[in-house]
Amino acid sequence: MIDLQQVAKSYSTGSVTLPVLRGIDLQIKPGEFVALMGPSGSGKSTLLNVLGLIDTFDTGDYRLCGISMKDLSETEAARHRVTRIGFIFQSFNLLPAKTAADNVALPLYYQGVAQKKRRTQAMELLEQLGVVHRAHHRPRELSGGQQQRVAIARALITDPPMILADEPTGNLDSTAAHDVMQLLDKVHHAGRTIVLVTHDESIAAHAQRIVRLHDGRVAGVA
Amino acid sequence: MWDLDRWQEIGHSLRSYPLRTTLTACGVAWGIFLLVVLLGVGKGLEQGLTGLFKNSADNSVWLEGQTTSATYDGLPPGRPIRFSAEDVERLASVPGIVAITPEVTLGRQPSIRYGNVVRTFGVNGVGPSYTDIGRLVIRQGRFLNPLDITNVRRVAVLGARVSEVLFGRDVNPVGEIIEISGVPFRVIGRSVHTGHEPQQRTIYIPVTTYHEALDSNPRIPAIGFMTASGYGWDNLQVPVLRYLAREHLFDPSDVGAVAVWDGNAQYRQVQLLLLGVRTFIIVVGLGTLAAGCIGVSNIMLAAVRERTREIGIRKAIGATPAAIVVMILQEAFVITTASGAVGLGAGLSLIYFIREHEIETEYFRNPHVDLPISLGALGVLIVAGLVAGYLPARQAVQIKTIEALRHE
Repeated sequence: MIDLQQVAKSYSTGSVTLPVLRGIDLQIKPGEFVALMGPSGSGKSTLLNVLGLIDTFDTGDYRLCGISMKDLSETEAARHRVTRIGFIFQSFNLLPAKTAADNVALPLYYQGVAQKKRRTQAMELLEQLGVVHRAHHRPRELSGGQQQRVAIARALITDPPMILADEPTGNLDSTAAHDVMQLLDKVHHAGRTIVLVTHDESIAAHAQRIVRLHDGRVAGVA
Repeated sequence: MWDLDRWQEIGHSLRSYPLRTTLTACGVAWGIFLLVVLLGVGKGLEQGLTGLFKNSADNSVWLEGQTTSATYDGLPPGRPIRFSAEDVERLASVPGIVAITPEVTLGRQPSIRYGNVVRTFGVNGVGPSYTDIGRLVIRQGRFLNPLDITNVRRVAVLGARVSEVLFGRDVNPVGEIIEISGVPFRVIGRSVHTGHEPQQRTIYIPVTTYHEALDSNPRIPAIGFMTASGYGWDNLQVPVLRYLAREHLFDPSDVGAVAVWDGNAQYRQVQLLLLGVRTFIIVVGLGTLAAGCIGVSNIMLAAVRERTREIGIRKAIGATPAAIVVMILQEAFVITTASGAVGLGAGLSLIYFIREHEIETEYFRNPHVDLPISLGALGVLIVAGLVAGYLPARQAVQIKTIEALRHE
């Protein structure tokens, strides 16, 4: 599914160059559930963003489903994102002006799916995730747990083979966090690849494999 | 690209930012409204100014006898100069003068009676050439002819308002008999109602009849004539004044003796004034348009910046940069077009209202709006909105998705 060869990335501000990823080698098989862990500044979030094609890398190669993701144009990146990747963020990143159902349906809009079909699919997913009763509410009227369920529904609606989650429980209380992790487990059991960034060991325990990063390098795999 | 779905998405997006949408819409609508009203009012001003001098052909000259201001041949100053019917005949043969008419007016407006209606109006005694020199347009019947003059006929041509007051709107007065100071006159014609206002309130009768029936004093206070092409007051004043001075015993260089109104000089002045008015309107109009463009640009710029994070989210879930640019452009297009149309409608309505209620003064009448120019202005604003949307949108989609997402 994912094959990283010596992926490196650095931020340069003026004359100072700050390396964030110093040559990452990582393979993730289809259907695998991997947790990325590490102290802050270790590069785990940047790595996830690179995997999700919302950030770029400088050198090395990243092959997703066998296709090289090096030097993609924004348009190509958008096409891969909409078909292969579902993103879940710590801060949910729902559009505040849209209802839960409209937020969930939005990726299908960019796939060119007809409105009626978008609506049905969005409602089905919200039903499955237990928030269908909140479908016509705006994000600010939802609890954190409900918002993250809506965000998960949005990530799943295009039926992507891979889900990337950046601290998905970071803004949630423990009950809501537990619910969200159960949902991710279900998503995993349904056959999807999941890569999750967390600093919480109990969350990481849901993964089959934990990749620890330190200072931009893979420090250990367990 | 023009599917219903996209429009729904735009409608949604515009409703999501009601304040910004309202502000942009108001800015565009106000700009177009101002422009349309300005153009309309400018046209009204132009028409008013032109109409103000409508009672004389551009190549006409009017002479009016005044009082002498200098001694002449032992005669003291302060003598009144009064032209005679002979003067009119003699001046008619001066080369360069193609039409001539006397004009006499009663000092006090006489009472005019038709049936039970009694009103006062001005009565002018004139010759047949008055229609050309005074630019009086006849709508019904005819104007005075030479036979009316030589046979001293008791016939009258009514100004449009006179006819309206005596006979009512849209009634043909030709053939009716009216009394002027108790003397019966047959109505033979009526002027158009769009002419010079004082002319519309005047009754025209043959100058001969005037002296026979209303005022036995054969004086002629004013003479009007039209000049042939190549002639003007510039080259006619010497023979005309020389003749009059000899006949009435005054110094030809005495500027107080005869008042001269030169239609051509007036015409040139009005043209200059109109040029000034037009220039002013163009400058103010372009200023308004520029202000509108800047306003739209500013708001679009702020709008895109405000939405950087939203753009990041949309990109993260699969929107291509092109899809986002198109979305922003369509929003800009919809908002400027819709609100511009509203402003256009409001401006046109106001101008129409002014027209319908005949709100006019001496200097302002009959305003109208040049629709192609207004639509052109709207087009400019729409293009400005699109450019103003495109540049920041282009910039916004080039921001890396991850940075856009972090934008607060």
